[in-house]
Amino acid sequence: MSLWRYANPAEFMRITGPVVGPLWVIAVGVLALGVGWGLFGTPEDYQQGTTVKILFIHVPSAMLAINVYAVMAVSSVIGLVRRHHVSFLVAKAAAPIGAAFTSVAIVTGALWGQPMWGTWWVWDARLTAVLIMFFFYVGYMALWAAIEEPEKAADLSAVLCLVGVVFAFLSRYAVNFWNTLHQDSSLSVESGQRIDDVFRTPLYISMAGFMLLFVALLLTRARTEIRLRRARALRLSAGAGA
Amino acid sequence: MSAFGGPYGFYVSVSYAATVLILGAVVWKTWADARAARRRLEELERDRAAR
Repeated sequence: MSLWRYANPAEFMRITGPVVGPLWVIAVGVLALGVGWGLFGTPEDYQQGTTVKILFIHVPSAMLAINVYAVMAVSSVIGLVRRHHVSFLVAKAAAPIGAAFTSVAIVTGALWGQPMWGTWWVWDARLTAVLIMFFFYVGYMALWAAIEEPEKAADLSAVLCLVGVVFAFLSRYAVNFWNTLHQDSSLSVESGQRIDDVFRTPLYISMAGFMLLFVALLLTRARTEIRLRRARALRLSAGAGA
Repeated sequence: MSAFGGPYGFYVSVSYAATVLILGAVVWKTWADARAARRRLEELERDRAAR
């Protein structure tokens, strides 16, 4: 059985239909557990004080800001190469979610930076790359909205998305390439444990909750995009038949 | 000490409030769009069946 059959809109709607509702419930539950535990069930950090609580929203949203862009880029490549409409629509559906997570990462980062670094913002490599990636999210959405013909909008937006991949990559790896004010990753597979278990466990749960929220939002938005495309086709065929 | 109190309470409170506002807006818009698209499609399909 080919994986590509899931790129069929009817098949996508049939498979995702029963999943979406329960996914929302699980996402909200896991998110509440992770964030609630982090906020009320962890002690103050000996250096950061209560600002360590910002970690439980900043790290997951920053992680998703970059990973959602990766989802958009992969979907755009598949759309451009295989001409699957669902791939383009998944990328389109992901953009506002990614932009929201990027906004959360920037705002909460600034609110952590002011008391800890003594500044709301610095033009260091990671922060600047994240800001440019945010502009790519906005530009991508604006391009989709500006072009009336869906096929053309999908192609041009996909190309724009691929141009922005370099900034998603830099958002993730800038701290490894340059000596930036932004510290290295809080969680790292290669470098072993960098954060105490008392913070790490709720952080993992919070990350899982954010991830589930993203999937629930993505499926709901992708289903909406497919319905809108079907509605457009019906409108056009009704117009042609009149 | 409460997570929202102390010398850094302002920063923690505003961080969580901003997150709830931003993600809440995306969730609300997603549901509103989904409801509107479903209704629109049902309407068009009813019209087509009636013709």
